[in-house]
Amino acid sequence: MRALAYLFVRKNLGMIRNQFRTITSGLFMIFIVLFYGGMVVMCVAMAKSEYVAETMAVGTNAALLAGIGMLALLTVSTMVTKRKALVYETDAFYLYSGPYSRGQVNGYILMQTVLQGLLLGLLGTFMSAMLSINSYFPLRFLFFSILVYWLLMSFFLLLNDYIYMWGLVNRKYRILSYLIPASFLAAAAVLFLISCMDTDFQLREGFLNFALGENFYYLPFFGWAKWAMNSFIEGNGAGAVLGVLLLLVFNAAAAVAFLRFDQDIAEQAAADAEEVTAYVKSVRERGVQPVETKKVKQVRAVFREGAGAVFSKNMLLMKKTGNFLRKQDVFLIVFYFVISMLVMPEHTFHMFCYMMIFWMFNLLNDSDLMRDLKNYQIYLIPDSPLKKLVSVILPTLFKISIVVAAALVFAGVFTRMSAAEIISWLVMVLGYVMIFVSGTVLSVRLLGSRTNAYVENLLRMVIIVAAAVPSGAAAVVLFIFMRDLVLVTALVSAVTFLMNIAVSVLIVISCQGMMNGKEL
Amino acid sequence: MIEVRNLTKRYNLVEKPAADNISFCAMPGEITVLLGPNGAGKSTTIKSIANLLKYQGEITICGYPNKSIEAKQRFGYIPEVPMLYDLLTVDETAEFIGRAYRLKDYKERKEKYMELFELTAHRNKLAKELSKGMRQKLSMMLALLIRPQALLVDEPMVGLDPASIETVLKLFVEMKKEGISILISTHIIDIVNEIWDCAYIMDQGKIVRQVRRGEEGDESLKEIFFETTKGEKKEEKI
Repeated sequence: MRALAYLFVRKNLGMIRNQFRTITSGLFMIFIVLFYGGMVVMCVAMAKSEYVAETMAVGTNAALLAGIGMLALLTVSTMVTKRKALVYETDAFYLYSGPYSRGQVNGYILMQTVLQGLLLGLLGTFMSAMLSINSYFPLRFLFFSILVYWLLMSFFLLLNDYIYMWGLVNRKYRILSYLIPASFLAAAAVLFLISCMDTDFQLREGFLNFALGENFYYLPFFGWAKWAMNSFIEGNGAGAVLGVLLLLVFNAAAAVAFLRFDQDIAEQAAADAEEVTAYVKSVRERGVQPVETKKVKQVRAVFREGAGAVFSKNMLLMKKTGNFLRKQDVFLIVFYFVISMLVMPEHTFHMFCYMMIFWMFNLLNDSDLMRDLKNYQIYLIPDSPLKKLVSVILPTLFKISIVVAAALVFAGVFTRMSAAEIISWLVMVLGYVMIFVSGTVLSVRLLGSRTNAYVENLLRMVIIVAAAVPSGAAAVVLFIFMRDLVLVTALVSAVTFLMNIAVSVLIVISCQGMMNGKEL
Repeated sequence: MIEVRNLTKRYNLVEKPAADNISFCAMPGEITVLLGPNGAGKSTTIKSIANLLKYQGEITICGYPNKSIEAKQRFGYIPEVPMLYDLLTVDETAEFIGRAYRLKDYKERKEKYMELFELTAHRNKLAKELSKGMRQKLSMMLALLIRPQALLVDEPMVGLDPASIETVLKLFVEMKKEGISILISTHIIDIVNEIWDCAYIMDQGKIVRQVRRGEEGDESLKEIFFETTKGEKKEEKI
């Protein structure tokens, strides 16, 4: 076991070292840590350290629910995903072919799972902290929430691995991966329904009742996590300790069951590790998710000439895979709309527009765009680099614009907004679509193969902020002169749109050289 | 013709250049081979010629700078690891290249190479469904489809069965007779032993020896290679 513990430590240190293998990526990593860490520190500094239920209950509980909700979403998506493995290919090779007992192999996987749980716990804490600027979030609570979220995610990751292992022994156990999340969702829905019944089905009040009330505590694990954190906030030590203890006991039970698992699953576990590794590699290197062969449709191929062939090729791939809009994106868009309805019933449409911008952060990291930006075959095509770059980005731009436009029009009509307002917001959001696409181009141009989702998102944020400065200034000037908020909103939308187009065009023109390959 | 003049490439934080002021030329109607042990700088040189790296120096293809459209129109590149769109069929991939390069009469040529590389039966298969060797053959077909005047080949025989290796070698000889410059980078000397015209041996980022066929005397190219590269190592140890 010492050898595996050594491997675990060295491997993780190696991953950190890898981030600093060049000055650029090291500086970026430091910048990212400082940026995200700084945001948390800022939240802790700005939030109140004394809890006043009358003024902070809504904000604090909403922040906790956001953190728990995000981790619940991650849990559900992890459990229901079809591609599963305990480890990656290299680990599988050494673990299953090496001189290790099953207990030792399980111990190694357990260490990885607990570390993964901690990272997800940090993510949940970050989410809660970001939403707690105006409410309660002192340093002691930061550490407490990390502990609670860590325990919560470790348990579900362990449970997921345990079900997966039994699923390899007998396929009938695989159904548990769907039944468990479904029962949690059903239980949460029932609790929400009860909260709504108490408020005569007034959605906003029902949601507040759900968020602030104690019904939620009856939901195993997620409810216990909230109970522990709420108790900590309210100074109820016993509740905080009991909540944590409950999570701890179930974690310990899951760990014991995991370590004692003694079936021979090496063959299939290694095959799954290989498949998942290939999948992750494909997404990382080419930004594209492998599609099952049987799902590929037969479509007639018609290619334009020169750089236009790249555009035709991408449209053809889109038609073949039917990958215009993924199921998870539909789910997320509907989820954002429901959240917007619940949180801001009077301004559902406006909040939804901002949520769609947030959705784009998630969407572009695995778009087909990355694959072509790093493909030597495109570099070698004898045509102008600008034409090639435009041909590469246009299909993605069209795809996202159509999805965003359809979602906004639907949301606008559903919430009975005026046509003028829908168009005005649509124009603004479409401007952001361009910024997001050009932000991806810029991050690949600046970082080449070292680019990653964090850096891309950071760059996009910087570009968005930079592009928003002129429209912000224009808004102030226009408001001073006109004093007409509706007109100013429309004009700001137009200015934002124009600014975003200008910045996007500037980025694309300045990055065109990358399509010759040399500048990457 | 592929001409490399004073090529120097340094990677970040690595003191020693991967390619150190190297110059050479792959002449029309000749098969030029770039030999060298692991880490000699062959891949860096190949990637620089294909314009995939930033470098110092000058590289021209048929007299045009390698980044120019004119050079790209005349340049075929067969990488060691084929880069194919998994969800395009063999036919569609060829069609894509034909249209992207604005080739006028490629369909006939495509059929010829499909037959030669035994891809005809697989024409409607997705690239992801092809075996490793078949993917390599498709990658070769794409490079040949554009009728290159200069062909750059990186480890050409990886994944190919013996019969296919023979076919490819014969094809290279035919192409050279048509006046095409062929530059092959490999460390498997036996494979190119029968077809090479000019060999450049690289070691530690430099071209340490140039040999033209007929100048090797009693020694084989392999013996010259070992003598050149091992000799250097012995000197270092001393």
